[in-house]
Amino acid sequence: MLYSLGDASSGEGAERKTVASISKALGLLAFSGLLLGAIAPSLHAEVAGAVQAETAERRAGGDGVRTVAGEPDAIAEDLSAFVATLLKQPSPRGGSPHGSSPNGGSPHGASPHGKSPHGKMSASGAGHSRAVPLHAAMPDVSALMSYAADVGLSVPAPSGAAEPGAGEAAVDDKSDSDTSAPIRLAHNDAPAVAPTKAVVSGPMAKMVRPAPGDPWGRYYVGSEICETCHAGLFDEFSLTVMGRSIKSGKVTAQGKMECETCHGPGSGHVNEGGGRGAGHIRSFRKTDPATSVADSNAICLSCHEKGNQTYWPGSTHETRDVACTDCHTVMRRVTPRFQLAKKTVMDTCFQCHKDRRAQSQRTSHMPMREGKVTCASCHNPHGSATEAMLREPTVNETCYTCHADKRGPFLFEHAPVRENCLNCHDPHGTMHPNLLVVMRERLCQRCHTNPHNQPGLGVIGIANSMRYAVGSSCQNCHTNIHGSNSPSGSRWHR
Amino acid sequence: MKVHGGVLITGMLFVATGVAATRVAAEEAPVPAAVPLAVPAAVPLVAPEAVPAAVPAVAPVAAPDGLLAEHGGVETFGVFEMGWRAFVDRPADYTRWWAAPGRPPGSAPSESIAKFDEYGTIRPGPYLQQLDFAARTKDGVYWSELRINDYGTESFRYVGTDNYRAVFDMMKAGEHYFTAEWDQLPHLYSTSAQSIWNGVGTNQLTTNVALGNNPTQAQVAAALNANLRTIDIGIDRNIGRASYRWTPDPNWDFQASYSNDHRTGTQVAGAIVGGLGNQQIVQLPRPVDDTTQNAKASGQYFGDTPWGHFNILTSGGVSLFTNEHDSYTYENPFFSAANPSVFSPLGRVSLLPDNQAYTASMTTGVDLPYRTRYMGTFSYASMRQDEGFVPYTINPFVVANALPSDSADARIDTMLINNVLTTRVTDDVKATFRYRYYDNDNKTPERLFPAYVSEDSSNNGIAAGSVRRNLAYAYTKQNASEDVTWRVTKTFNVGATAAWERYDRERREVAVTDELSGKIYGDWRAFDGGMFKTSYLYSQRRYDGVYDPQSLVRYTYWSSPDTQTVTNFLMRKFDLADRDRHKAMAVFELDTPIPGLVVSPNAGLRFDDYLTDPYGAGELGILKDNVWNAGIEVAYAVSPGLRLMAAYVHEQFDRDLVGSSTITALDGTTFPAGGTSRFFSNMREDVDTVVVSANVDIVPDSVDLGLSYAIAHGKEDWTAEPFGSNTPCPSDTVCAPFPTYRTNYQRFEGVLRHKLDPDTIAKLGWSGDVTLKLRYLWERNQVADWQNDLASPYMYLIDASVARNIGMAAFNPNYDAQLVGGSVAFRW
Repeated sequence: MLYSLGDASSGEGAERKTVASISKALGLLAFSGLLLGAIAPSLHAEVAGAVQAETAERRAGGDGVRTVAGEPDAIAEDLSAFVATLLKQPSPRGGSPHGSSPNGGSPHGASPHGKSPHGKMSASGAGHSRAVPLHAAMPDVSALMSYAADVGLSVPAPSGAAEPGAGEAAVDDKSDSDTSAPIRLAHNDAPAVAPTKAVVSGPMAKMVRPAPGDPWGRYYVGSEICETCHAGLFDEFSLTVMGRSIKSGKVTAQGKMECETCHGPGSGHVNEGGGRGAGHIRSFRKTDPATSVADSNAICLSCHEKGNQTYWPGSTHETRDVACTDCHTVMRRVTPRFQLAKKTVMDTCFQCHKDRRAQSQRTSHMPMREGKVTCASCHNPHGSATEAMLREPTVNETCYTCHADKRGPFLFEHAPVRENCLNCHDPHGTMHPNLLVVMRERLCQRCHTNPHNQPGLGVIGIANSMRYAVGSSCQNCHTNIHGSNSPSGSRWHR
Repeated sequence: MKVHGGVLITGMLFVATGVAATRVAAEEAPVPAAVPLAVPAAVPLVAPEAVPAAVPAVAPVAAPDGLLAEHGGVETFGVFEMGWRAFVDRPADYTRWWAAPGRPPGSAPSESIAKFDEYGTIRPGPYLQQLDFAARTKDGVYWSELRINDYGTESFRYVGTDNYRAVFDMMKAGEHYFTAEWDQLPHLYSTSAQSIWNGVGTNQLTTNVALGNNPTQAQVAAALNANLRTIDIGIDRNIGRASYRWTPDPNWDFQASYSNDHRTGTQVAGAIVGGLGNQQIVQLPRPVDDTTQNAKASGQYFGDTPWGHFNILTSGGVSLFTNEHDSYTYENPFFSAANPSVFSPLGRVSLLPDNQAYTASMTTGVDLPYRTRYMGTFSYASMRQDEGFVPYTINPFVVANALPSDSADARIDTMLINNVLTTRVTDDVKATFRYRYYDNDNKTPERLFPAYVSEDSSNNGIAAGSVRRNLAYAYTKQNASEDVTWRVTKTFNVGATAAWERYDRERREVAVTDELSGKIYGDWRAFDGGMFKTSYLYSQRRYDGVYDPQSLVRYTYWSSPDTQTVTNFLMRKFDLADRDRHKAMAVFELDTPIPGLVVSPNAGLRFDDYLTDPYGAGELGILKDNVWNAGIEVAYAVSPGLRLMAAYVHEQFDRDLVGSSTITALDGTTFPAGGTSRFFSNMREDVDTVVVSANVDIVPDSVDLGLSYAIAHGKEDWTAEPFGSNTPCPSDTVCAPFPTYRTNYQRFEGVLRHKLDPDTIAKLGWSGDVTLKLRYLWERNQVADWQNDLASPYMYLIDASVARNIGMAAFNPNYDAQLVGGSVAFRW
């Protein structure tokens, strides 16, 4: 039996399928209600047990049927989302998930996760939505049942299960119907774990494009079926730059973006009923043993190895095995820009640079705590043409971006100033005024001797003991220490 | 046309709402809820059945027929939070720390609000915490968003009345991106500076204080008492930025940006005037009134090679700095009509001159065969400055020489060539080669300036300063390295790097320094949580040939080198001296057996050992400069509703210095053998930082509490000890340890949030979330800084021999502040 995500079929066959679908939907509703009521309190423990067992099997090198990995909470969340979606919408496609609004429903309605403040969006969008019959949800019903059975739940057997190989018979080798551009294919790199034969216990998802060379024989199923279970993620994702590009159908240099562009062919995942890691779906989670940091990063770099990311290969962060997802979250809008994993740039960087976090608490600091300056104001964490991943060719040219007054060139230059601002300042925060690395006059005495008798402060009231050391110390007189343009400024007095 | 239509749709939204909200925010007025929400129900842009008509969530938009339908309509979302706050304890604007008659040094500390308001004025009353208003077409094609104060922090501590930021984004997905931004960035230094100056903020400072060249302490006190006024010291930045990005197709990417940064205000600056060896020092409110404009445009092409991708990016930019003042003048309080050439009636100090920078660069990344990638950059910049010279002196009683030119005609051209070649030798071994060349070529003409006028003074009325020549300091820097990384397992990498760095300088004591370094590192990451990163670097920097102190000064004092004295020839400057460096770091992240408990110890060090020899060779300078830190962070998710975090870091800075008060004649023959008058100083600084936070869901999905506390406590001591037989430290009375310098910053903040029941909110006609917040902040900053604490208008109280020294006592960073407030946040 073919479960199409395309236009509604017509004729008797279609009617029969519709009746069957309605029956299955009713059954699903009942099942879902029972499922939620019965297993919700204990789902965490049950799934956790299953996950642990399967994870152990996988680590032992077993030829596991499923590669479920990850947190059971997320599985329950996905499951709940799926059920809630079905409970809330008579049709998962072509209409409002929250009602029957032709405009796609309320943006304020409760999301499947019950917490989306931004409402639900149709993956297709009103501009190119397609009518989809109710039975379109059926593959997922079967998949869910299969999954529920896998985790040890008692479920009714799916009716009309496809014969093995049915999916192959349904291959739709056309390009995406919404665009003439080919769907961008994810890398089919060598599998990180030994290929296993996918076990198909239910109907096969429709193929929208083959995935030649996939080690598990998977194929592409398109994004729409993903939304059936991951509707909540679609909501949030649509608030991000990438999400908007995908939703709008923007064609990239690699083709039209789909979920599988990053996550790899999804047929295995769908046909095995979903679940974290099922069907060798690429998760990008740090805890996913199926992939390495380099492998995950390669997916991102397939599009983003340009612009600010040109220097990523060979950069400090790349060399030190930093994952793109250590700093960025793709699916959620945590920050208005750059899709950071934390709420601020500082929090993102401080995950590793804990000494810098301590420095940021100093009394002498740039307005970083205040949100006016961030680490990324000076650094390009993706690598650059400088050692410290600075945005400009040198430290000084970076500083001149905001402090162009210090740029000069001056008539009388102060050589260490011209060479490196960091000789005297630490922009990450210090105890000393003006972000000095050490207080004047010791700051200056690292290079200079002078006749001003400053070995010690001495005792208050003793002549010459502190005359020139208080206030701005040496700069009380050498006021233009960054350079002078006065003809009488050779000592930076003028 | 579609673009324009979409822009029109989103732009109209913000004309109505964004501008109104910005204006309200700028006026510090409470924003009526109706402002962003005042929308006639007749124009629902979202499903009417989902949003009750009584509370429409979007602004009215008279969009052309068909556009909305074409894109599926428009929907909006956002956040709006405003509140009210009050000080429980507000530091005074003006209090005294400094020494004054009747208030001798060492008096009890006082406080000032200046440091608390350093980057934004916190006023009691209503305030706008945040506004985020976005609109998009439902097909995802068009998007626009206005954000005010999107700092990512929920704290009301940093939302002042003069530090707003508004960002407006507008985009067509994957094609057009436009951003406009307005940012206020104040930097308040002082609210308690003591000024004798009139015309503050201008470049002509006058004073009513006229003490003559030999005032008594009583005369100074009387004059100051009669003329001191309290002023603010600080700089306000107003920055406007706009950027546009256009990606006409997947292969092309064009970007352009422009920013205008205008600064106004004052800074404290010292100046020396008259006296010629019997210095007369004053602190002044130096005027700041300048503008920096930066413009940049770039284009990038991205395509395929037979082995992957390539991109080539070219860009060009202009940066213009314009200062409204080329110098400022001030009246000398110690002017002597009897000897005006020495005790000048006026002083003048040059300000930072107008300058320009022009840049062009090209960057490329190319995937090559054999899993190799090349990345390269060629960048060229020209920095120029041609501000007209100010005269040698403003003292009309000094006859100065003619200037050799009207301006410096200064120019520095820089060039960067960077090359990186990285290749995957095997599946698990990657090699990266880097070579970088940077040239800082100073093309400023070196001119002789005959008889400059020091301190605007002259003993005989004729400029008598030495002949000096400006030096065109220049350098090149080269880096080369080879890095090999071996992926031992999927989660364990090790690597090693060998590197070389060379500086080749002109007009410095050392021409060439070479630094060789080796580094090893390892990175491990566990699937089930946990990671470990560590590295160690050792390097040796050596200068080539001799350390020649005369190489600099023989050019500076071209015509009379024998008669000048400069920094002791035995000084080995820290950026040139031979040095061995050890650098290491380690970061652990350990998932403990206790679910939710993650422990992250971390440590780092950088030990610099300078080979400067104060014993045998009698050299001077830094001997060591060591820094290390160690800390631990503990994060514990006790339950989904209780999350705790605590972090501690200890840092230590430890430096040794052998210094001297001696100077050297330039011919070298007069230098005392073995060096004389040396002292030793250890500078040690310890900083302890603790950050603690807790998030508690008191009532799940309804009431939660966020708490945070941070303390940074620093302590710095300088010793001053005799060194050698001839020392300026014969006794503790004139060579005592410096007073301990201390800083102590603490901050506690709590936020109690209550998310109102959604059903109740819906009944009230609102379709989003409404959260009430109660806030409390306590913050303390304590600084014991002998250098600033002792700066006073009445400097003779600090040093009885110094009557001709008038400070401004500007800096008092001490405060205690408590702030409470409440806010309501609407999210839809």
